[in-house]
Amino acid sequence: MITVGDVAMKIAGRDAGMLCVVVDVIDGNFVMVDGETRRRKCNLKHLEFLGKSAKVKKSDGSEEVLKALKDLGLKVHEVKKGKRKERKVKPSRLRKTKAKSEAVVEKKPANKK
Amino acid sequence: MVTLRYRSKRMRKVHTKLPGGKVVPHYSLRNVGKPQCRMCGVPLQGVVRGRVSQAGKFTKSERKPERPYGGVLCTKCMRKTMIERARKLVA
Repeated sequence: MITVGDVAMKIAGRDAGMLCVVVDVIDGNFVMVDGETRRRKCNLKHLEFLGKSAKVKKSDGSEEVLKALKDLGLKVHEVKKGKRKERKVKPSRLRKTKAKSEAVVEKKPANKK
Repeated sequence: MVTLRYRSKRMRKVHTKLPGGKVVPHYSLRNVGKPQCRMCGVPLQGVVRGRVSQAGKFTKSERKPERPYGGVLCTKCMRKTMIERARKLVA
């Protein structure tokens, strides 16, 4: 039987290879999962259970779930939330524009033979 | 003798008939092969087929599946590798 707190690795999809913990059991086929993955509903066929269990409650947030995974001694990949680097403003060349008065002077009538 | 760049196996030799009736070898690029799973050889789905210049026209998510090993392994082989990885973690 699968219970809340079971540790598994996701096998299929975009989150494949990521560790997760069962947070809620929906029915015989689906569970709610959180951890390295996003918090999401997941088919049991898409999980490979490790046989470990973490101390997790149903109401825990994703940060607490990650902490519980770390306590088991598993390597957890975390996405660092840092400040965005400010982009350097590239020096842009301005288009050379002539003053109106000059432009008028430069206009010459076409050469007539 | 043909020009050097046409002497490689990269180019395909095509015999074309000219209007004068003379048959002349022309050279064209070979067709790009189908993308296959590197482990089992099954043709992959959802991968853009063509040269790099052609594939560049699509967005990154359209070029190949977004899962790990997307465009390299088929789903079955990818799942196998993931299961192995999971079992190594415990052992």
